[in-house]
This record gives sequence, structure tokens and C-alpha cells, in this order.
Amino acid sequence: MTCSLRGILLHFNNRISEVAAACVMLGIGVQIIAAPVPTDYHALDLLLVYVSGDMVAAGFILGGAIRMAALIANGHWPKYGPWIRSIGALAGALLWSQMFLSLIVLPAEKLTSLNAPFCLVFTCVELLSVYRALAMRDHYGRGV
Amino acid sequence: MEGASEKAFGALGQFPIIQAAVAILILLGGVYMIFKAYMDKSKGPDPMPQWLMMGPLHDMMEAVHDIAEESRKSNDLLKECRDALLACKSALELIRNESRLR
Repeated sequence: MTCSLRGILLHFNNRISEVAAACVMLGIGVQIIAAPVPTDYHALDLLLVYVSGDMVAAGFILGGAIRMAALIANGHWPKYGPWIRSIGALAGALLWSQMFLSLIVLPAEKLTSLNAPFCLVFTCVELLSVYRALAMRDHYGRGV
Repeated sequence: MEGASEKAFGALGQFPIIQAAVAILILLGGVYMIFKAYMDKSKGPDPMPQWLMMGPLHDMMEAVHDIAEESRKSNDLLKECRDALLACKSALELIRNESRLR
């Protein structure tokens, strides 16, 4: 992969949505670390019932980093790469769906963010990524 | 029995059930996608749309274009070499003729 715009686009090719999702996961993790959870993150309400804010941040960062590593390696792990991408996308779908659910159950006066549609679309796209990572692993990215 | 289950659900609250249901739905969807991916892959025919193959084809055309450009440059260089050699040949012939005249 060359570090030009064209090189990056050629390397990631049709996996650019997965790259975007991994970047968003990393970004959310960093944001939670920068402004820890007592801040008003309604999208995390449901997750925070069961896990602490630090764990949520760690999960986001770990998931995003592993997915990103698999996407950058792109074909050098022909056996495990698609599985890492696929399981990462499934974990992402679970997280986005829970965040979506947290947002849509909020009363109208508390619903101050516009993130619900993003979470819903990300959930669907992640489910499609689960399929694509495994079904097309021999066609693109030299095996991944 | 009904009273007990009602109490249990009441204690649990409605929301964790919905939450778990959504999580299970997503998990089932993911597992279905994994199985479908394996089935589609074992079918044999290419599950990838043809238009996605335009990328490699386009790269190949660009590589052919680059090769043609390099060939053209090589050709120009060879022509210059030929001209230089012809000039050398003429000079040598002149020297030879001159030495014969002496």
C-alpha cells in the first residue's frame, strides 16, 4: 500500500465502509477516554447498565484496532483475516444496535443527538460486512 | 406459575428483555450472514458483481499504457543510437578514404 490517496483507495477498495466503521469505533473509544462516561452519553445508556465506561472504551478501541489491523494487513492473513473482519463486523453490529436502541427509547426532550439513524445504518452495513468478508475472501485483497 | 413468571418479568423490567431480543436478533442475523456467505462461496459461481472487476481491468489497461510509453521512449533512444552510429560510420569512412589517398 502506498500512502497516496489513490494507493489507500486501491488498497481498501470496496472495504472502505469497514474502515470507516473501525475508525468510528476507535474515535468513540478515544472520546470516552477523553471525556469519561459520567458525561451525558445517552447512546451508551444500555451498555452502561452491564459494563463500566472504561470497559466500553476499551472494547471500542480494541475492536476498532483489531479490525483496522486486519484491513491494513489485507490478504497477508488469508486464513484468519476474513474471520477477524467478520467477527469484528458482528461485534460492531451488536454495539450499534444497542446504541440505536438506547437512543430511540429516550423521551423526546432528552433526545438531543442525531445519532440514531447513523447507528441504524451502521448496524445494517456491519451485517452486510459480515457476509462480504467471508463470501468474497478469494476475490479481493489477495485473499481477504 | 403465571404469577411467578409475571413477578420475574416485572422484577427484570421490560427493557432488558427488549435489549436482549435485539441483541439476539442481530446475532442471529450475523450467524445467518456467515452461513449464507459459506453457502454462496461453495456454490462455485462468482458471487461478486462483474462491475467490481472493472478495477483490476482498469489497472491492467493503465499498466499496458505505461509499458507502451516506456517502449516508445526505448524506441526513441534506439533511433538516436542508430543516428550516432551512422555518424560514426561516416566519420570512419572519411578517415579511411583520406588515409587511402595518402
